[in-house]
Amino acid sequence: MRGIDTVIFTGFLGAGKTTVINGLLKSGICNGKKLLIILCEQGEQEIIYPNNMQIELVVEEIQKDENLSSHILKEMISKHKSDLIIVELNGMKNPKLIIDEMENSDIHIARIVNVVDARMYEFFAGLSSEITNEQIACSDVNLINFIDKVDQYKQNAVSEIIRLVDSDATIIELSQDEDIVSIAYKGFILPLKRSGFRSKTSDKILALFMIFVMIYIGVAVVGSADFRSIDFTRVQNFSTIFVSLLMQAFPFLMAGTIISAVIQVFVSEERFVRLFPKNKLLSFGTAILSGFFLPLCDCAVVPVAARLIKKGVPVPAAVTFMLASPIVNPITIAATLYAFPGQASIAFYRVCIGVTLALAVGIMWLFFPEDGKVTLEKKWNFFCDCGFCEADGSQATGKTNRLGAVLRHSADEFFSVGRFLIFGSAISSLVQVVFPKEWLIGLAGGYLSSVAVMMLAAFLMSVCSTADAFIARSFATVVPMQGVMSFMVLGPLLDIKNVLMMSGCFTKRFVIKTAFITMGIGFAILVIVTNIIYG
Amino acid sequence: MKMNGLLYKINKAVLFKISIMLLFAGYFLVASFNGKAKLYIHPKLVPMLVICAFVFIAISFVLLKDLFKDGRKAKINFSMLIFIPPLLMALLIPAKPVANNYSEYNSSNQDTLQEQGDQTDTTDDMSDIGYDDGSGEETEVPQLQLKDNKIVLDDNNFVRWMDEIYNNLSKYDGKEIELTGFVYLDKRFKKDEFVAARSLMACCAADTQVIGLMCKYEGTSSLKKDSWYKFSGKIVKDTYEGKPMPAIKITNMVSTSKPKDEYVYPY
Repeated sequence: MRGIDTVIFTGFLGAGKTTVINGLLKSGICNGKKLLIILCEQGEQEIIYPNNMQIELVVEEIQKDENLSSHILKEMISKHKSDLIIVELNGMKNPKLIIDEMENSDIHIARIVNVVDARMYEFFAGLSSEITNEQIACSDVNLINFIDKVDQYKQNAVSEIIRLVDSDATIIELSQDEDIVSIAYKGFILPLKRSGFRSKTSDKILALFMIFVMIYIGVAVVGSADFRSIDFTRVQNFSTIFVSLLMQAFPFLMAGTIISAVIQVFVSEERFVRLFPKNKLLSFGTAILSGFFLPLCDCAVVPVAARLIKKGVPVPAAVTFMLASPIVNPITIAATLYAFPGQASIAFYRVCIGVTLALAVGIMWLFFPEDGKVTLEKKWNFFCDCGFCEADGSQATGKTNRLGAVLRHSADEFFSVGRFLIFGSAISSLVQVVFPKEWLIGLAGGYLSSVAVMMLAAFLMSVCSTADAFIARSFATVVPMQGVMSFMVLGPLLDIKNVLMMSGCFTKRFVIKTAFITMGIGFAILVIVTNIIYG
Repeated sequence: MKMNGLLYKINKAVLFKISIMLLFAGYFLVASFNGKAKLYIHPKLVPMLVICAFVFIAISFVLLKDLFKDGRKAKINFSMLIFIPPLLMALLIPAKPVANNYSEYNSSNQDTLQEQGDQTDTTDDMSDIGYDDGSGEETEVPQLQLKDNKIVLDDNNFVRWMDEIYNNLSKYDGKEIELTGFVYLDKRFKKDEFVAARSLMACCAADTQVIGLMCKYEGTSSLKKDSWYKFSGKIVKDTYEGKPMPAIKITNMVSTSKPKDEYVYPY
């Protein structure tokens, strides 16, 4: 037994909550039910009793100076013994408290619907964003009312506000009253399939289970079949490369997310900005030096760089930091020395060209800055209750709390960035399995083409920056030194894996701009410099 | 009712995160201790994997507090499902050294480097890119020594001996050699040729290469690809695709089982 199904309507005064409820009644979905409607707000509209009374309907009103409490709710439930409850909340009050209270009572919240007036919403959201954000955050469905009364720009603005708070919000646009009926029939207002097992999440878990079964059967079939008749090697190769990339990258990624979370929790904004000098030239220097002292690989650096920008470090310096870190990383330098024993010059040139390129891209950002934010705001920026995320950086309480907050934030980051790491690793494993290296080698014969082809190879193969020197060495037999150097310089700065990860932390514009600038300037610098050194 | 209510309140997204992290942690720990991890990554990285597993466990522990918070609305984002395939692959598909192309690393690696070195001002550094001034620099490496006037390659000195023999071919010409490896065959090889090979891992399985010495053997056509042998023979001077290269004239080969550590490492 899970309590009486309850649908809650929230939204500002005049947004059309009562109209939506009337539409729901008219649709006939509630026919044959014993219905209790609780109104916490006296609006212009009133509940219209449907003509064909197939619904047993009771309307209760909560007086202005009274609050809906679980006590009152309980009283009403036992008085009316209804099997469906509709609650219209007071739009000027924060819905969180009352919903929390209801969750702990005898009812089952089937759905929370947020009704939004497209004409007035921006105004309200600006006026009391605390309440509107909470309304969005707690509801399952956002109905945007009067959508036909506003222009395209405003329509987008409203959706944007909602998505900012809840990135995977369900948004439904309403233009006429008749729409409510069809929307109700699609199950958006009152869930139609009521058995608890048909919710969306369980569908996904079911799908997951099916995938598991399919893979299991697949493996069993392949395992029992004659290996010579079915070529399983490629699948096995793919799996080995894919898993190994992740096993190698996860520890580095965790290091990055923890450093990022430590900065988030322990270092206040002012202190951080003070650390980065006002002088632009000096700030670039700081960026490169801190890259040396924070040994991060190209995956780990992305969340850290995003954090720096959020903490107020200027974008050009943060970009330089992000690009330079993996290449001035002591581990990378050591690996290069190992891979090319006795040729310290190679490691030296690699670091110099890499730093030059990182600086050049940073300076491009100085000259062509971006208006507005370049980092993505996450839901938890609004609702993080760790106590360390307030804009003023107000620090709270004991050390154990801080440790908890660090781990929690690094978990958040791990899941949001890790997705892209996995996706990128899958692509680069696929590239390695499908395209034999000889293809590249055939293309990279000439000096100019070798730079371009090896840059592309570095981008596609996405080898961790701490290890790519060894891969580069394996190319050294067949590709001119110009190409090998290009591979080693571009790899740490930019590859599929870290571009995808960037798109988990930064806006699309930022990622595309950075990627293209790096590629363009990179090609120019590499062609010129490597031909001077090795030409 | 209470129990059922509790079940409804579980935050599925948090539950999902905790399960993923614990599964990864469990797999990392098991793989680290039963040696499976070494099929994927360099042994030096294994301790980091263990630390990572413990971080995952600590995080799951912290997340446990959120398990009953905001359960009603929590959804598992579709993109989160991407964490599942790697786990399944790690658990279900056995790892296997990825055989890349032999010639990439191997065939007179150093010669080409030297050719390119000639065009630069660093010719001096390049000409003696052997093991002795390279890998010997930072790690403590025992000297390569002949055993009873015989070169014996094992897991630990395989890569260094390879470099040494390739670089000082004339010094070792005619010497007896003994090594364990698998049979690597390639279309470009002559009828009596195969490579006594090992898989080399620099960092992880994504960067493995096949390295080895070319062998001359009458019965090559009867050899099975990837089968393991203990080879003995004499080093001779040979050429491959126009470049001088060492080769082994096989005198004896004994079938053997796959070694415990399938990979050899450059450092």
